Amino acid sequence: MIKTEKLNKVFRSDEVETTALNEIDLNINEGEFVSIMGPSGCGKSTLMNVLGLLDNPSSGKFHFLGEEVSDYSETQRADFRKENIGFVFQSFNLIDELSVFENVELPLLYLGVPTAERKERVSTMLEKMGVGHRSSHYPQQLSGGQQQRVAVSRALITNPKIVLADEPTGNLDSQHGDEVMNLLKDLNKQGTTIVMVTHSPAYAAYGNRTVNLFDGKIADETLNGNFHV
Amino acid sequence: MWLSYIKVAFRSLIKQRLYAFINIVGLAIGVTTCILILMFVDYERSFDRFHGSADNIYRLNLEGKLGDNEFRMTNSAAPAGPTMLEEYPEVVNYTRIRNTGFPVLRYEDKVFSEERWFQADSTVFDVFTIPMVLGDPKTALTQPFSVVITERMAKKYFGDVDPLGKVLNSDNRTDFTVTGVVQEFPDNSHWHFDFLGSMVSYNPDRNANWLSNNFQTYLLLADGASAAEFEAKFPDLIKKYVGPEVQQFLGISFDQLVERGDAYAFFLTPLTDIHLYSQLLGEFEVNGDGQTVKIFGYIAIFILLLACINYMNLSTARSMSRAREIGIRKTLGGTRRQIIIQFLAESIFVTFIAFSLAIVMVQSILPWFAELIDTPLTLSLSDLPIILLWVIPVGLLAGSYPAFLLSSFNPLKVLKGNTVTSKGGNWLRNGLVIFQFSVSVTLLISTMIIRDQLNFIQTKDLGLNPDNLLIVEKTDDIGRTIQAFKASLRDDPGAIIVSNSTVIPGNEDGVNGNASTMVVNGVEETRLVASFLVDHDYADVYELSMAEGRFFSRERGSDTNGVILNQAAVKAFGVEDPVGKDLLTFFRRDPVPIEIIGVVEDYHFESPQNEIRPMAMFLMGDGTARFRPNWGKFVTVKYDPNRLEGILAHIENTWKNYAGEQALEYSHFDELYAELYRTERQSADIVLLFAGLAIFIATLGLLGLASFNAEKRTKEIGIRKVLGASVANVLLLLSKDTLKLMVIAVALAIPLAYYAMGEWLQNYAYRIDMSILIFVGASLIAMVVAVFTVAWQSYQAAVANPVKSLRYE
Repeated sequence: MIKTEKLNKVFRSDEVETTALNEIDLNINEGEFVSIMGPSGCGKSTLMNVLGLLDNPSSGKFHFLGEEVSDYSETQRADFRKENIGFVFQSFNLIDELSVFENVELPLLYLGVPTAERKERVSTMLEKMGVGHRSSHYPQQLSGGQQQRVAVSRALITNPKIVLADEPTGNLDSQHGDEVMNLLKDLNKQGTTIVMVTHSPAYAAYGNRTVNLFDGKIADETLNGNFHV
Repeated sequence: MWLSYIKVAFRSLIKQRLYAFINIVGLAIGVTTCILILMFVDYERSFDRFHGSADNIYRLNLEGKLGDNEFRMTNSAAPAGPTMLEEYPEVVNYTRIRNTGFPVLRYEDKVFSEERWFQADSTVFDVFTIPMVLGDPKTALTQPFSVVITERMAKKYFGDVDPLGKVLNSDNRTDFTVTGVVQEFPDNSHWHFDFLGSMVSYNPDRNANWLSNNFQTYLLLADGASAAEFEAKFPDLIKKYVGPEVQQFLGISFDQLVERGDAYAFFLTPLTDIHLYSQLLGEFEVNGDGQTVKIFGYIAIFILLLACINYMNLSTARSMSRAREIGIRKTLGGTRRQIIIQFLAESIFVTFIAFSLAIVMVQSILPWFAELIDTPLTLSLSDLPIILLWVIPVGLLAGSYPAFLLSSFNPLKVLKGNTVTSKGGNWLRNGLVIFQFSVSVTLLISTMIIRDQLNFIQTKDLGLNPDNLLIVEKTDDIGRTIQAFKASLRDDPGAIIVSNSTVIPGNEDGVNGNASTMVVNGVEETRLVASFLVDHDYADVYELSMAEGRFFSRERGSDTNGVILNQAAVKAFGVEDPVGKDLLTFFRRDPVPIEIIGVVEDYHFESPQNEIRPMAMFLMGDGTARFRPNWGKFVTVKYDPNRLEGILAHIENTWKNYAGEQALEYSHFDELYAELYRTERQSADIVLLFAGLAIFIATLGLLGLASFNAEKRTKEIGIRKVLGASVANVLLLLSKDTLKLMVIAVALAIPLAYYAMGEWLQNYAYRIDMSILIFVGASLIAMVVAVFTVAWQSYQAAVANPVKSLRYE
């Protein structure tokens, strides 16, 4: 599904040149649940941004669903994202001015899905995620765990090929963190490909493979016991 | 999707109430001001356009130079119109209008003194569009002693009776038969009449000479005729017709006249330009000022711009709080174009709310504003769509910068919580604040200078004493018994001096302009000299001072053949020891020598805004002298201020005895004089109003920006306080930047205002030096307002508990 070859990302300021990603070769197959770990500043988030087409790599190849996407324009990336990728963030990133329902509806609006179908899909999704009774509430009125469920709902509403989760449990207590991890695991069981950045080895173990990054390079990869595919 | 945009826009407005309030109210005030000014501008530009042939009608004017005197006037000679019609194919028709004075009209027991009586050629209905209600425009003014009246006058004199064929008596001398009733001209006409007497009643050929200019001539040019090309033919016409008369009266050929540096020429003013761009001698009514209208137009645009800048500034400042939303939208697949459209839509939505509010505001303050500027303005329902059409361009203008800036955010950075305000954005915001305050300070300085100048003219030495003077008007209606009337007025001990004259200071009606000649060092010098008639008491009643010689005296019968000049006239002729010398002046066809018996010190016999022209005073005829008997329109009474009530009652009774049913009209001289500055005072009031609004709008913007800055620096303030900063330290920290901006704004505003006001002051013959205090004062006001605004916000931040702000972070 995803294949990178010698992927580099270099940040340049006036005086300093920082290599955030250094010759990354990574393969992610459909149906996998990949955890990415590593110390702060190792390039985890940069890798997520490039994989999520939020950012272009500086050099190297990047195949996504068979397409070479490394030199896509902003508009092409936006189009690709909304069709194929769902995002879950550490800080939920829900829009405060929109209700739970409207937040989840937003990606469908950008996809131009007709009203009736939109309503149907959003309601179904919220019920499935166990926040259906909160659909008219605003994000501030929900607990952290509930907010992350809404964020996951939003990430999944377009039936993306892959979900990218950047420290999805970082802002949650352990009870809510477990909840969200179980949710992701279930999704993966149902066939959704997931790439997740985490600091927690316990949560990394929810995935079938863990990639450890160090100074922008892949230090090692380990297969986890709970391999489901 | 649109619904989603509007929803988010609405909710973010609700969430950030202060910003929303500042944006909407600021914009609404800006739009309100703009609409009001543009209504005024539109009205001023609409003058005389109601005539069907408005674009083809031109007024023939005269300009020339005799010696040092230059003149530009609306008047032209009687034969000019007919001659041009005959000789030039460009001229399709013409009509002449003549102001023949202020008759007292009688019908049965009704007696009224009228001010808007004119004589007109019968073609007046062909040139102008004057809808006739009764009568036939083809024949209404073809017979002598016929008169066309307005509907209002028909009602006034004849009630519900058919006025056609009824006879109006004028001044107990002439009877006029009503031959037509017309609709009155609308307010936006450069002249208004109540009565149009037929020109043939007065036989204009009596004035057949080309040097006597007593008519307003309007020419109707053929479609497509070029006024400029037509004007190019005037010099030949003048040489052909005016030349021989110059030879006859001045004894030199026209070429010689030109050679010695004098001039005499015709020029045209388009009818639709008269109100705004014509300020000649003899205008029918006080015209508007194109310059003022233009300036107001600019002010309107500036104020709208100020309000739009608030929107831009606050929206970009608030971008921090919207950045995350934009990041999310982009991550979820929103393109830059969609984000731009979203923010433009939001801006148009806010603009729409502001416009709606503005329309309500315009509606409610329009009556007050119309009164302030003395202009009949109304807002009709049909104006609303036009006004609302402006929502889109204004919304786009205000929203464009924020939309492009916000949509350019990198979703990565904003979602990571990185600062998104760039240095460039700060500079732009600061630049806009500087611009706002520069405009505000410029307007403020201008207002102060305008007020200063008006004060200066109103309090400057006029060369006369304006106190304790009552003016009884239209005393010419009393006729021959005026001497007895004056004597009776003096019976009251409150009346100190009583004088009769054709003109009072400041009132230009009735001031004649005659070419007069003097022999100076053996050479005949001709100058244009303003003249009017006075009685023996005129110098005493106004406390005029004599520079040389003496004033008219009752003891000397020969004074009826004497003239008093002012110093300006003496200077114009360049004559030394003028007393005892002769002035040749043209009263009828022949020059008459009149002895100069005195020179009065220059005083403002016309508007004090005008330079004092050469002037000659003649003694009013009492029927015995060689001049025809004449009775001045004005009787001036110098009264004892302690006996004002008594004298007023006495004047009323005496008037009844002499003038019968005609209503007494009197005024206080100082009030009449103040009236001369009404337009200027209004302009000053309006500019002051605009300056106030501009500052208010700019302050609103600054308030928003200050609260944003304080919010943004909450953490910094917290850290500083933990490290020991006092409230005062923090206040200074936050106010310093604003103060810097203000200094730059003031530095820009001062030269701008200095230049603009310097130009404006050129309009005045007597003007102030611009005081440095005004510049300093206005700058201080703006700075104090700005700093207080910022301080208020900063104070909130400074006194907040640092623990809170740090924990919050």
